[in-house]
Amino acid sequence: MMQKRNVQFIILGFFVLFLTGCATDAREIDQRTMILGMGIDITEEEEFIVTLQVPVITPSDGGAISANEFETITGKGPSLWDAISNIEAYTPTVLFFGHLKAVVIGDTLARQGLEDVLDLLDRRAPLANQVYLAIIRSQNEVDEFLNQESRLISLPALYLERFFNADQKLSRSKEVRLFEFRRDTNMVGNAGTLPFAYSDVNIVIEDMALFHKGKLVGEFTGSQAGKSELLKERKLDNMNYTLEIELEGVEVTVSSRVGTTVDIDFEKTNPVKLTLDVSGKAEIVYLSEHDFQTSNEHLRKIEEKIEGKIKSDVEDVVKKAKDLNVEPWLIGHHIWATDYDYFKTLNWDETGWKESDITTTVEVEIEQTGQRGVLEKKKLGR
Amino acid sequence: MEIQSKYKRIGSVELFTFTYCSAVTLGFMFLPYISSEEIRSAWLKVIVAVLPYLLLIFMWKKVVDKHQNRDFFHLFKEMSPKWIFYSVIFYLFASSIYSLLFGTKSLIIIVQTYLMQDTEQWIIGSSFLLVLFLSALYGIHAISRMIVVIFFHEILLVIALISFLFSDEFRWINVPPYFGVDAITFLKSSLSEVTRYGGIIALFAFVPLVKNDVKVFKPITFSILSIMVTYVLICVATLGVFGYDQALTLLSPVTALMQTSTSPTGLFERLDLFFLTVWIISFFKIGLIFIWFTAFLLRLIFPVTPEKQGFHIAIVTSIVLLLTLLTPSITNFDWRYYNMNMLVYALLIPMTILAYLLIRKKQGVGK
Amino acid sequence: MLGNLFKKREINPIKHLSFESYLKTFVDIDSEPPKESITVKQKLNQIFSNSFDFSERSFHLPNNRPVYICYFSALISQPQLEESVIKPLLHHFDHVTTSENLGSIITVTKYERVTDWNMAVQSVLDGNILVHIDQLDPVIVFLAEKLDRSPNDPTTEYQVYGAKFSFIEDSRKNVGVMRQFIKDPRLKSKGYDVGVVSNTQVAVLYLEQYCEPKVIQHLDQLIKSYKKEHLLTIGQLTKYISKHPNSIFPQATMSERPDLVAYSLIQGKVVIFLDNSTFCAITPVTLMDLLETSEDHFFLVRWNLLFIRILRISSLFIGTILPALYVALVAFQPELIPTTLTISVAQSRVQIPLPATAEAILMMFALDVLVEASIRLPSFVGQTIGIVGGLVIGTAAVEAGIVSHTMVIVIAFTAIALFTTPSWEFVSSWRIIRYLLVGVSTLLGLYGLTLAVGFLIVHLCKLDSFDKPYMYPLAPFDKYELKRFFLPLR
Repeated sequence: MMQKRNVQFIILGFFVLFLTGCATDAREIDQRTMILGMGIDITEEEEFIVTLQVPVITPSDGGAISANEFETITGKGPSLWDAISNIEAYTPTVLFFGHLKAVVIGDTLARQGLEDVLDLLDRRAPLANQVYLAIIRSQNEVDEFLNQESRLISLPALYLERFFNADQKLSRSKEVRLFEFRRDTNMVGNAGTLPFAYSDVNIVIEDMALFHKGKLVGEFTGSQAGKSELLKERKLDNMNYTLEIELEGVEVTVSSRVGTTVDIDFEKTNPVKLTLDVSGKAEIVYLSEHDFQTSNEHLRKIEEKIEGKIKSDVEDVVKKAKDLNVEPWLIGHHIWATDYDYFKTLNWDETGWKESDITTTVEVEIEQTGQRGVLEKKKLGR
Repeated sequence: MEIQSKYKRIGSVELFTFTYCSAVTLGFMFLPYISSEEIRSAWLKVIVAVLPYLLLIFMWKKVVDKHQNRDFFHLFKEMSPKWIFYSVIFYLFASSIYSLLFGTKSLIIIVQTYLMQDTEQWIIGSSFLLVLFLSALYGIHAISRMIVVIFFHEILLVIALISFLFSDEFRWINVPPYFGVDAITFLKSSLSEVTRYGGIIALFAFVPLVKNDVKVFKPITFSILSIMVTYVLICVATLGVFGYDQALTLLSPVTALMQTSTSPTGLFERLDLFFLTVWIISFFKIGLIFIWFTAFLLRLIFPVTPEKQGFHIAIVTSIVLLLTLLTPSITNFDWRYYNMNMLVYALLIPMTILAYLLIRKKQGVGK
Repeated sequence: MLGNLFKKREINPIKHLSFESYLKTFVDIDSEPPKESITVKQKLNQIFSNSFDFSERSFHLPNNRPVYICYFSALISQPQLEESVIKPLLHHFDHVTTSENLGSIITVTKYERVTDWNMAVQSVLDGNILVHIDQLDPVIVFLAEKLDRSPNDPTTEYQVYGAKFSFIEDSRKNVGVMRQFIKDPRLKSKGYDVGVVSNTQVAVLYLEQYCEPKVIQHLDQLIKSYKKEHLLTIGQLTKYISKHPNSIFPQATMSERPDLVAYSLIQGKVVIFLDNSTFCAITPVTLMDLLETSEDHFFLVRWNLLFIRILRISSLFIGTILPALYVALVAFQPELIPTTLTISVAQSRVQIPLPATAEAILMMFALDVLVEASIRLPSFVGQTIGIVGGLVIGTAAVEAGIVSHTMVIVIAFTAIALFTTPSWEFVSSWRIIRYLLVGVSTLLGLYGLTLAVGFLIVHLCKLDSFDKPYMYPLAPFDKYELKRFFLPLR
């Protein structure tokens, strides 16, 4: 018993000696160049330009962490990997992709197709599946965007991450992570969406780029992006509507916030007949006439107005997608998964989507007329 | 002399965890879509694939009821010609070496892909086997206890998987059963899933150690069903999050799945690496079980006294180590041969023997 | 298995002359001493030559009968000797006829006739008095008054609520203390004299029907087979009776608190007292037992107990694994650390010349040096060491750029976390493991750390203390015991 234990320790000891110096993966944090953001674009000469955004690590004085300064490094190469390896020559330490937060892709490259980029990102295991993707509008160069210093957060890559992580209550854009984009473009529709970003003075993230078969084909701007999101996720919170409405002869401005869900059904006809049943819960956040009586009748009117607005918005975005003949909302996939034989008859890619007959119904109910005050109470007497 | 023999017993909890851990690891790591040709609704296959094993357990129960003996190998030895016994045991021995080799290789691939890109394969493999060897020397009681102690790992994983069903990324639309193929293709591709439960063959050696007053087959069946539930959860969760086309291309769908989640606590940035440690432990457990089982089979061929069991463990480990070092690394898995062999070794052979034992007894009574 | 161990131990040869063989050079130890007091006196003077504290007194009774009295002066009660032995003898000299009727003359509780030389010498060494009236058998008068003290506050095991009372150096008295705690005839005590030279009194205490009889039987055999020259500390004995003496984990625990001992007895454990030691050993123990204190049962609210136990277990894990985890994460897998934290760790590390491993080992070593130093020093200096050490090691090292802020935090937290464990010996074991784990992390990162932890758990599962598995009730799994550990019933 005791002898056996001794043998164990001897073997263990030998092995440890043996292993010393073999730890090739041991690289201290300060020996890695931590990449937080990566920008990829392509030149007219078909050369890839890769911009990496790395934080400058300065020693912290007495505990206070100094502001995150950063540096961008740009490299070029005939292939993406070449461009990245060229950058390695400019940095003192090894490039480390483990903390990559966001990959922004230039407009030009996006129009040419993202396959190359996605394949590289997919194959690198240290890179998380959860990096955010964004497309840079053509008004900015990619490196220019990555160099932009926001007055709010200095690292743009972290800006993107925080922006999306915070789940901002805006319905103009939606985060898309690497695996989500991969998944969506792999579905029957072969279509996906990515957010647009650009910088003028600040970093702006709004609108969605529409991809078909990996190529940028169009975009949803403003409220279209929100409606697109609604159709895709079948659910959208916090759409803002400000409406002018005439109630009892008075022009009233109403601002409301609507949370909606959508139910998509299809009938097996050819071309397919789709019904989009949108139902929503609204909340009034602003009413231009303070003492206005929000009676049920008035509310009904406001509801109708909102319903009309949503309906036209949805029809607008559907029309846009139909014009492009791209269907990024997994409607085709839904049909495909429920009834494959029927789906085959539709010729979805070519004509099935384009010719589909879509009816939209909207129903909105106002649940709250103000969260804190009951502003419409009537005064009696003096 | 043993004091307090009540602590030496192996109870139903030990049996349950042992069964669970002896099979679940590889499935955990690589399900769904292990073989190269796959149909969409892999989770259906997993459910179908459990049936043969339930039959196996049922047959075993029948055999035990008839012969009043839980020692499968002992019965087999008693009731069959020597050359059959030895050749079968030898085959089982070779196969379990093969599956150990395969497990080690998979561990190497996983570790190299996700944790240590630049470290050489032999370092990963030999350090794993060394630790396995040292731990296996402690014997089956320590192993079975250790499995119980870190069983919370598996519970953690299952909870994580369930939580994925409620995450934003999960879409039920990807999941519904879908038969794009005829029944024969379906059954054929289910065969590869059958091997996912193959690890429970180690039970044949483990059950005789269980005290006689402990009910054996209830925890085993329950455990096999839990494995099935776990597998279904894995398949459904990966399929729901990634969809068929992407899940098909992933080396380890569950790891990719964990990557998609951000840690709610902010303690670890990337949950997938945290879960990788869980998988390493999982490999460690199944490795221990099979080193022990293989050494057990070797002992059936060359009996030794209990004190000298260390030699057998050393032999087994060094064979696996040598094979690991000498065979080329598998970058692209070809699971076909492994699956075929596993099918024969873990299901067909035990079933045949059990059937033989069932018949044999009747003949004995007839005479 | 235990039997084997036991056999191996028994063949330990005794190299030196034993007590008996020394005596044999002067007298025949098994024979009765002669009735002539002068011969006895001569022999005893030879045996105890060169011992200035060996006192003797010879005098004659009024009827001219010589009386010889000898003892070790520091071990007896001199006034009692005067009052109860010498005075009565002088007063009632005419009644002294046989050694049997001495009892009606001297007023002591106990005396015994000497049967052989061995007994005579032994008893004198034990602090008793040999009284020899010429022509009668010599007798031993039990008037030992050993140096002892009254029980004090426990000095090592501090508690908030527990009894302010600890054991003293006398095993017999300690057993008496336990009788106060458990008033039950089933509380059994066995006495042994162990050690060829030291002849230390050992008392084994247990509750019959609570304790496994086989444990007692084995302990009995093991203690009887102890054949070394001396037994001075409780550690020598526990090392001897441990089944896995090479393991890094203690398989018995020590305590100076009677309340903990009483609680352990009721749990069916065996307690071993040793003379000249204020600590007793408790065995068999499990990992869970080592995380318990008697005070845990003082809590009025059971959820407090649950919280404390979970706290201790998690502290144990943190205290052992944290530095290794830090090294693995910083050197191998920084992607696991949250991004902003990574940046601050990188910032704090950027001017540190040492790799994370060296940093960790340096700090851990410094910490252990501090701990060791402050134990050895008197408490007022110890406190200074604590403050100076903390300042020097903490602030100065960081400012000098030798270690990073984060490492100081990690190590400090590690150290504090581990000290939540009540058993000091156990803490020391985990401290060693901490170094080993850091070593493994250095070589193989998270992967190596995981494997090492796996091995550690197998090792813990293999251990047992008197065949009680170390990880019980976790493995073998016992849900009732587990529940009792975390959330005892009312």
